[in-house]
Amino acid sequence: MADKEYIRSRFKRHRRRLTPEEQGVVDENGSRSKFHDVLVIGPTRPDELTRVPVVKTQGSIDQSGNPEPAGAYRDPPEVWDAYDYGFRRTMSIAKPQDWCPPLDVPRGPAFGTLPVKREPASTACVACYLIDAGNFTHHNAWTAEEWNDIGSEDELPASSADDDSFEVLVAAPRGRVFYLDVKLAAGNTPLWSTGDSEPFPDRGNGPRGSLTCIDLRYEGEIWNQLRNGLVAGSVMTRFQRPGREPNSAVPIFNMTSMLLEPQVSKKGDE
Amino acid sequence: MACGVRCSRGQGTVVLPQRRAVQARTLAPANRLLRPEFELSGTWDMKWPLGTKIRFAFQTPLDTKADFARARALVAEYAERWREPGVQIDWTFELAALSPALGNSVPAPFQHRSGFAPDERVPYDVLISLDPLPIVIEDPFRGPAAARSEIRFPVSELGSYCRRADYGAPTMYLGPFGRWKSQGLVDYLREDIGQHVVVHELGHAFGLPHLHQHPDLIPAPSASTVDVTARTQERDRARAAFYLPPDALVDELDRILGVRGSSEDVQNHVTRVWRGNEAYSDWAAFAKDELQQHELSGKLESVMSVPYYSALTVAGSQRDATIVTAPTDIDKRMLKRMYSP
Repeated sequence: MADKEYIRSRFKRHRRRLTPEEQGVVDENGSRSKFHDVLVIGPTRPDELTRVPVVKTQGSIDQSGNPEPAGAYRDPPEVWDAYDYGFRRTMSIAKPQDWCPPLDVPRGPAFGTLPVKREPASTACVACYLIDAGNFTHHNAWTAEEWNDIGSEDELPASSADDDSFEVLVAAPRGRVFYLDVKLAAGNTPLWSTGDSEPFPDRGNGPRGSLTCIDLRYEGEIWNQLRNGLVAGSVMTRFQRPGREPNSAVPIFNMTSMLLEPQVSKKGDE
Repeated sequence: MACGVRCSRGQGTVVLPQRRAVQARTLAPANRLLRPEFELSGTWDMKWPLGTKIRFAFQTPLDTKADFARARALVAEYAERWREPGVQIDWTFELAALSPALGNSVPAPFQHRSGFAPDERVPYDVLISLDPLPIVIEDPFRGPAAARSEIRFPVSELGSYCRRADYGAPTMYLGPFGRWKSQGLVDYLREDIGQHVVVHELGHAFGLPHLHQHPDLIPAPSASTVDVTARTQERDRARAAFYLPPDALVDELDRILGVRGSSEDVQNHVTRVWRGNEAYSDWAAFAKDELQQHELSGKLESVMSVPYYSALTVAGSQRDATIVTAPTDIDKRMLKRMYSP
């Protein structure tokens, strides 16, 4: 066990976390701020969480004690660890492989908003955007560079560029999640032409895919991730996925997070 | 455990933003909650994914004279009462214990936490405290309304919500409380009340709600079949008539347990129906005779209920009230409903 003074000093660090009142997370009308910190997990340091704080309400101070406009990201990032309030909560959502079986398959949100629902121990100031760079790749089928100003080699396409199928889970309104499995090619024969819009007809090269509405009752990880703010990421599933590696994570996208809410103004503001 | 902060929406005129991803919605915000499918909260929120092996760990008690090893063994022994074939969750009790709560050597928000070195963390999901109650937790990050909370009754986070607590912060409190507070830890755990508390709180850690707050336990014939909010309110009204008035409930629980709760406590944990949409919840069905027995005599044979439950009902009596120390049929049906596909 480490020295007691060391442990106490980690809890008493000079960089004091501001309370909700100091941060001004609730404005004069009692509404929670719509501005959120950004929490980042880098690709090479998966056990480290970096917080980029935002000024939450007009007139409140930033971490340095200076008044800043609401919504401004002014303060330098700070590194959180297990001593910090909210660290374990965040990592439990960011790294489901730490507690959900199978424990050795990396997955989780690439981007999420957390937490977003009332629950025990929810708090006024831990509503953040989460970016986990370990759960997505910028080098994908769509982003390989043809021209590159660094070095003289052309960047090769991503390995997924010639995949002959893809699968994805799409979270939709009304509590529905759809599993889309599309076969793009049979060997070198493309199965889709541009303009195709009929639902998966068989053109003589076998089934071209399927769309299934998933029963979520026993899909605990899908439910858990979506209800905890996943926007895009990957999850493990229980339902059968013919032809797929059973111990592989499935990409998932919450399309409802792309639907903008109409703004409601109070009467008399116009 | 109490629910957290909830956003409220004021009434107002809908203003179209300049750039829109979808066509303007013409319904007022309140109309969105009319259909049951729109309300996604339910007991699924706290359920563990199938196949999870829940890791229980203990916080070393502050009282060094407590027979910690024996107490841990008893808790692990009582946990076995939840074993059911076909249920796809498992659990383990970690051998290593976390250090005692730090107390006032650190700032208030951290005093209930164990100390630890960064590279000496024990991987766990549920952390159990066996220290006597009440325990006061100061947490200014929770906002002024919830900044100071006093844990007077044994309590546990529900299911996977255990993963939200900070490292070293207990998620389950099983220590002696109320009229048993001055008993030794092991003596208390051996009593019926100690056994009930442990099995009950472990049930919560597995994700089970209170079965006396089951939406179908007390009928509400006029409850809306469409509007979740209205349905909940109707059920609450029907249930309020079944139990003693709130002040009488507080008195009765004080008599039974030796702890005085608040009127809000008893309403949240006894009289009100469990919140959430049944479409996204697991509720095992009651047998007809179970419902009849409950209606006639206030008897509910469930460890996921309150000790001496029937004493809290208008139909029941103190004389016939009993305490349950192991999962009963309805508790096991509930566990299977959640974890046996």
